[in-house]
Amino acid sequence: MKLKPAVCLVLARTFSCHVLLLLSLVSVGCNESKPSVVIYTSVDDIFARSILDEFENASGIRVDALYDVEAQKTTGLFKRLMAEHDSGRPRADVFWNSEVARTIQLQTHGVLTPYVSPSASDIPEQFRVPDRTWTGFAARARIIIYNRDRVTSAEVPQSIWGLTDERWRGEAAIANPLFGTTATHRGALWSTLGEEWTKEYFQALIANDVQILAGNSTVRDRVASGELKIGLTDTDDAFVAIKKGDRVGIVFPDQAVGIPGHEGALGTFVIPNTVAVITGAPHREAAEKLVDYLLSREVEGRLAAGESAQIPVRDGVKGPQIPGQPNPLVPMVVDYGYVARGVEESRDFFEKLFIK
Amino acid sequence: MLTSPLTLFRRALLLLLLSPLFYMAWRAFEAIGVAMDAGWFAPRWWTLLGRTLLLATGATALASLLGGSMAVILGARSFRGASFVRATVLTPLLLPPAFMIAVWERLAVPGGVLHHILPFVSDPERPFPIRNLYCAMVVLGVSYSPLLFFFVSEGIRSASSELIDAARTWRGAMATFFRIQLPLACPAIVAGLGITFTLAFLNYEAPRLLQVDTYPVLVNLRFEAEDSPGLATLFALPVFVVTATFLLGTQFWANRRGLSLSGRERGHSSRVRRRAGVLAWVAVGAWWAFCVVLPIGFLVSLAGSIQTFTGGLRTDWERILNGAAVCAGTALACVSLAAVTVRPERRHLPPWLVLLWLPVALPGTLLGSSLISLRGQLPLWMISVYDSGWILVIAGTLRFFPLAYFALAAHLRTIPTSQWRAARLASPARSVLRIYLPLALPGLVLGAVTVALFQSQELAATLLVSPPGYELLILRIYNLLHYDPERDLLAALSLFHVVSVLAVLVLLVACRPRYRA
Repeated sequence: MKLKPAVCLVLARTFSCHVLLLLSLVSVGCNESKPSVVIYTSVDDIFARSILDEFENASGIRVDALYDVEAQKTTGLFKRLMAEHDSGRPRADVFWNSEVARTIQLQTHGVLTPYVSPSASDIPEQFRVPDRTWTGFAARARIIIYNRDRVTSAEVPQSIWGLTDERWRGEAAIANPLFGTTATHRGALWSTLGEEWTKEYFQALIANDVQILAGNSTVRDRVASGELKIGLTDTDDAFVAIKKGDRVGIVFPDQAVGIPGHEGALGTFVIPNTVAVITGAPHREAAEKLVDYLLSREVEGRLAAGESAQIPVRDGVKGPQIPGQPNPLVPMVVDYGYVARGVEESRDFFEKLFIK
Repeated sequence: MLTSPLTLFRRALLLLLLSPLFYMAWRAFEAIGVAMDAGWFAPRWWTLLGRTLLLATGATALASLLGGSMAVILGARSFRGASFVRATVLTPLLLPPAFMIAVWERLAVPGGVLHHILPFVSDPERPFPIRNLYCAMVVLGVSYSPLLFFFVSEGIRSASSELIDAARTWRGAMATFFRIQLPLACPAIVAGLGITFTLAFLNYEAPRLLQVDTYPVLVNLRFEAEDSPGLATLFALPVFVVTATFLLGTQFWANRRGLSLSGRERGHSSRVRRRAGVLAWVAVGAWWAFCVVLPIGFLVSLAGSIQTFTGGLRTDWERILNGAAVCAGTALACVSLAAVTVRPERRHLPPWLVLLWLPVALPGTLLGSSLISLRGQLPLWMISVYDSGWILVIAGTLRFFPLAYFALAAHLRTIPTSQWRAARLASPARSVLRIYLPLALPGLVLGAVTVALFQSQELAATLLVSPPGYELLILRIYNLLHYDPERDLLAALSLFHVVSVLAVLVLLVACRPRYRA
């Protein structure tokens, strides 16, 4: 093989190209020296991104966000936070969770540190934990979504128990109860209505061929497309379909009708967002500023007015206009500490039932 | 006999690359007692394993049928532009199976294309039933068929032109194909079958999106639900055993039979040149229509307008760049390590080296999980590396290094040992620059392209180790598969993904130095 005389030049060109590529990686990966804050959030990125961008612009603090994917919601972030805490080298400063159960588990493991935010002074005590390790705001409700082309409003069950009715066999869906807000919902039922009731309910759902989907948005999409008739999902997911013009309707369940084993209306389960500062946060000052911002009335108002249609937990913030929302809304009365315990206690049973 | 420092360095490097595997094995060992108490390995999980085997076997069979047929049609023909046509056949590899599902969902809408093609399957008023095992099989089979095409094609073309010409003089083309070309191509075909089966078996995104419960889906759920990485690893053991057995077995056999890739003789074209013919063009046209035009066309139509593209570019340009940089970085890291670790003069790899394939057989979730746990063990100076985009390159290198290693080894095997002996006469720098690199170049490029392609589709480990503030396009797209009911932004970003990966591949190929034969 005879080589070109300019072989070294060619090699130099090659390696310079490779070096450029690697440098691009470094430059994209490295960050400038301006102050920064690291936030782990399980809130859908389409909802959280604009709020975090606004904070970044207003404060001059760069926000490095880590989102979870819809299918594993919170769980991936929870594991990373636990691993980082166990190693004694936390990377995150703030945890913004779209639900509450995993936050309480982190609180139990000492991953969260107390912080009294001035912005949270008007948030009801129900959404604040006594040790102030986390604070709840902007809630979502667990609702029944239905396809208006396939189901009339009169046919839609007015209670979550209705999903076990024979008429919905194979035509209803829920998200996997091992994760996300459906897991929190199962914890709420477990802690409020008891172990036996919850077991019976979910076994009845399975017996009725209710489809177990990857996430709440998948439930929404499958109902909106007409593939399924009804499903249990969150208000934020359902509201996206309504705004898009899909022929779907919403029912806030258990507002008036009773369910087996419970006297009177159970109420609709409401799940607040939660925000907390991480123990040993590398950027504590910036973290507190971000938490103050997220707990402000403005952000709660924006979350209510935005596509996620979150329901404000404090008075005086204008709520979203969700079609079918009762006024006043009867919420399910729960203690979120017990809800988290319910999630833990029910885990073995649900793993056996849903990991198959 | 003393071992040279270079050999020691090579062995240490190979051990380092397998370190996450050892770590997970240790964690799993620790968890055995708990697993036994918890009554693990329930009979119902064997049903899932059986279903996964069926899915992977069906997908591999379909990929063999499609890819193999194309390779036979094109591999035996020589015509102007043949290399370009072969390259275009590989283009569906740029689209991960999960993206294809977005297309299939649109084809399955009530009264949609699938209803027109198969009107007897279901009620046209309802969506076409795509969420089942058979559809998952088709999606994975079609997605991986270019991989089989590549291996079969390379195998067929690795036969010496003189040998084929001589055989054709005495026997017909069919007899030559079945008695000479096919047996010679067997190592490449078996190697391709092993890799395709492993990928189909390990894939969890497509079955999960299509609601098919397979064992890897369960592994993922188990990892998410289980707080102990050891238990999660232990639970994934059956998957690992199947994939490792199949992958290591096929690669071992192929290497023993002298697998060679990109090592055909160049510059000695066959005297008997078969024209492309109508069949070849019809096959290429059908392939293109089904595997390229259909999905790409659908993605373009889903995106809808130019504003979607410009909007996507404006909001996601950083993720596009990040994805491309990680692909390129992983490819370069893998081939650099391969160049250092592969011994050029070695004709037959020692059997134990086949163990290097183990990281490819490992579910990505476990690799990500081990890396998360390892962060706590790292020295402080390495934390800053871990917390940057480099962790994605490291994860990709740990997982896909074997692809670069064996691509290079398979290529170097075709080079006469006399050339390496001659190289010893030159100075080390001169022998590397003027002899080793030019000879190894096709193998290095092949390795780099393969690694870049695989890394561009990696999701499971990427999801777990992505640093804050460093997002990749593939994660964004996977999120949009859930979030974006209109699918317009998803479609636009999927096309950007294809273009960016293509650009990386072109760059990797174009950057190679050219030598005059």
